Amino acid sequence: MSARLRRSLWPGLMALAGVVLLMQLGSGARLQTDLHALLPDGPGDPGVVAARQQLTEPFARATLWLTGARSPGEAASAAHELATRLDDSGLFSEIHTEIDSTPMREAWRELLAWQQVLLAPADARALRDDPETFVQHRLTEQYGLAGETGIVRLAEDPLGLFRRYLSPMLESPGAAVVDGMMIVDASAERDEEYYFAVLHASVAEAAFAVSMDPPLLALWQEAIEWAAQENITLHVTGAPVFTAWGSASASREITLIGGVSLLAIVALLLWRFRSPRPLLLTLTVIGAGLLGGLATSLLVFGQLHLITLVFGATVIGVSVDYAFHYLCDSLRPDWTPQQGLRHVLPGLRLALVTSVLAFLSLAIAPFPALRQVAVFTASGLIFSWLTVVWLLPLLTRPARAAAPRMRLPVRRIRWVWICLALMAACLPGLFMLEARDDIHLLYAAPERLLADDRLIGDLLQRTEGSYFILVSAADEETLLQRQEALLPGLEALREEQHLQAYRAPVQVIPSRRQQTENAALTSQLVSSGLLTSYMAQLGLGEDHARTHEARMSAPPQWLPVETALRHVDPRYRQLWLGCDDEACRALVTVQGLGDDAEPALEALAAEHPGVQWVNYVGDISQGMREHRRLSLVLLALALVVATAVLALLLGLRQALRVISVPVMAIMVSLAIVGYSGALFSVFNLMALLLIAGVGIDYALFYHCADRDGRRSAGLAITMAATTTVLAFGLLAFSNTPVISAFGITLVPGLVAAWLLALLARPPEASGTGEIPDEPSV
Amino acid sequence: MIRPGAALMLVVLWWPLASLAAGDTDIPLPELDAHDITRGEFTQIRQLPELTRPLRSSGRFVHDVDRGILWQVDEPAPSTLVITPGGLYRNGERQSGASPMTTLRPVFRALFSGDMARLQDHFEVTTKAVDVGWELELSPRDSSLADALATITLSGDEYPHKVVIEEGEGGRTELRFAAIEHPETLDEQTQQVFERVGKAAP
Repeated sequence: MSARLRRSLWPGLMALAGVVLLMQLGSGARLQTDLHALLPDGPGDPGVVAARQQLTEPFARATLWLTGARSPGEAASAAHELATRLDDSGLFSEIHTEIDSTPMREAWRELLAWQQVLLAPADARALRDDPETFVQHRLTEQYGLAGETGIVRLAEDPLGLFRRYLSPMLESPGAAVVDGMMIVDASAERDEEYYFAVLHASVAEAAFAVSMDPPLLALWQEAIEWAAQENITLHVTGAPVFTAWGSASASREITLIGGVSLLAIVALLLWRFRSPRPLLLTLTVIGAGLLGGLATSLLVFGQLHLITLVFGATVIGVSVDYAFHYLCDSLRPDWTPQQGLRHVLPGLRLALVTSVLAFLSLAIAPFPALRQVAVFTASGLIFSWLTVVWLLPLLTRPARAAAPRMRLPVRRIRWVWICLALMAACLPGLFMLEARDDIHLLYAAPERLLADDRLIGDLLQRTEGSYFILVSAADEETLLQRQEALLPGLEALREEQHLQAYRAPVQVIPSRRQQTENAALTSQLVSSGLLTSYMAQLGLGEDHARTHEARMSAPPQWLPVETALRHVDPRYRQLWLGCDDEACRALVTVQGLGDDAEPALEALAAEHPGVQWVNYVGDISQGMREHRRLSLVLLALALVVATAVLALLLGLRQALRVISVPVMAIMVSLAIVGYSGALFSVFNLMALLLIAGVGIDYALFYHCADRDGRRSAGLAITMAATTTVLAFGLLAFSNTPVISAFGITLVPGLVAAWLLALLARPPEASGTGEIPDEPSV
Repeated sequence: MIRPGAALMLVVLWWPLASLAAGDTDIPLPELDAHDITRGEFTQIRQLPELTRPLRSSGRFVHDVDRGILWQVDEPAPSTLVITPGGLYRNGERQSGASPMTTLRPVFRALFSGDMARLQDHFEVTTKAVDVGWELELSPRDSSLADALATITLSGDEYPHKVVIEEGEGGRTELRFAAIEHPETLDEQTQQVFERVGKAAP
């Protein structure tokens, strides 16, 4: 390729990438932090996906703020003050303080028109089995403390059947409303009188902007300080707060890791080349890689995940290898840019092909995040590589310094013995690896936020979005009947304390079949005379009694599902997913699961047609386990592919020698993770892929260098290894467990790859054990 | 939705236990002795416009500052209600779902702690001049309570004698207390009642 063509190609390519990046950012590309975007996609059941969305969607922008104090009034006034602070911040689109239950109560009252067919499931059973006792109990209750009152008058509902039907909807975690604020009683949890006022605030779009210092987080910190001054307690939760924290943490980590890496590179280059030019060139190579990686990934995916950005920093680690390899070659005597390119191009080509293949093999894994990392890294590397090959020869000047000479005392030992000894040392460590495939390890969150989330979840009896029972049927009536069939089993599980509570739409929307049965039961109450004698004992006025009897024995009106859905509590309504072309679906949620609840629920679901137990987080962990195994296979595959490519070009013997460097480095890395008991999951495998890529680079650069170039090649990989270790070693201090594991895995592997690359030199050079004498620096 | 009786009972049972610091409030509230355990008899008369005659019931009650409240109806039909910090139990069975009583638990505990200021967290309290003893009128600050009960009137002298709950739509419940005493310990039977519901709790 002519120099002129190269001269115009590179700026063109970069300009293109820049325009793509700007367009994507302009069209609202944003950083993704949703945990579920990282999950294996696979052939997801559309019902399950819709169900999960229905359960979690309302929470995407919701934040909950609880102010606690020793009296409800104090808690409420603190919440009002907090509401003002939140409102002033401009971060929220909506802040709910006033709770008005009137519309809801009116909607419930309207259901009274169908009272004949609406019975609580337990009451229907009791009326079928022993109506006399049931009616007797209702009478007794009227003489209890202040009797029984409800949303409707006694004359309208003398037996309390309708009140008892409504009762699950009346259940509310909010104990009271004081000064318009929902108050939750936490005295039982805290063993002292204590109340929380609950503030719902929806975050506006702007609060999601990625930054190292998200305004939402700053507001949270201020609120904590304010609460401490006011002597109240403050608890906060909600996806936006977690996102803000994750985004700040990741931005900090990226800045720190990127910053230290850059500082190390700057220091090394200035020290070695004594000129700012190679430094600027290296920065250009890294910048081109990041720009290209960002532009390509945004073009392909439309958005980037936080994890991709953190792991994508890998590009710096590898792309700097290419720059150093070329720049160090310029330390050779009588060097010209074109000579330099000839020297390093064979090694660079092989390195790029093998690295890109290795990283792209990640894309096979059905994890969207892994696929993003694969595309980001592979495209970033190509951009960096093109920058080295097209741009650097135009701009590099022969260096004034020279490469230092190196001595490695163990060089006299045969390579094969080194390999065997290493394997023997590593083998026990490999058996000590303990895999943990837990999706929660992906998420970094401060202990305070996690504790707040648990506390608020317990206090408000929040429904878990990650597990539920999915009921499907061909039509609405069957869907309701299938839920009805499920209720006795759920009740039994509750009595056996496998679960504390469950909620199903059918509890407040009986099927037509059940409505028919209910109507028969209520009219039987009239025909048997039980209702009449009850009302007489109660002393209900005769007019009232006659009206009620007439109502209960009239030809029944059926309550249609659509009407019912309009009137019932939203907590039940949201569980009704409705019908599409394939099926009608509804959810049954369960709360407070015991240890053995899951197998019991699975067994219950298996007994009923159209019923499925879904544990999303469990499925994810299962997916991570599968993909850890898959990634191991992919890693082996990448190494085999690399060996095959190298064998074709270098011969099998040399290929094996080169490939043994990354293989040994990976073993060392795994063994150290095993010995140290560090976290081992699918994300360690990504570190191993990086070690493989870098290990091959180091071995190839050194291997492909001619006899004279060996000294500069050795310098190049030493500098590359130093900067990479410095940069990625810091990942070990990350707040996110998987990123920290990535760092812990990477460092020993990189050190091993570097040392081994220097040792695994081709046999023709063995004998002297030192690099031929040249003027030293 | 909220039963007036709950607040009422609380107020009533709290009464003999509270010792009021007059300096805490600008309303001159009666000062009563504090006791850990209170036992007594009650008569309840409940009147509703749709009823031709009032519902009369009578029985015994126990309040234990730590364990909770036992409300035992003897006439016309026996039934028991236990309210503990852990929940509400009717005839030994835990009442799940919407029990207005459980939603009033904070009110109960505020009152039974013997801290008069707590009463004013939940109610607007006004005193009424009467010839003998005292009379207090409470109106709930909790808007969800206000639907179910308009006012609670307490009256008594050394002990509370009478509680009247006026409901919004013409309902009226009157509770009268008699034979109030303060034993040192609970009798075995009552202890067992509390222990049984303690075990029934999740």
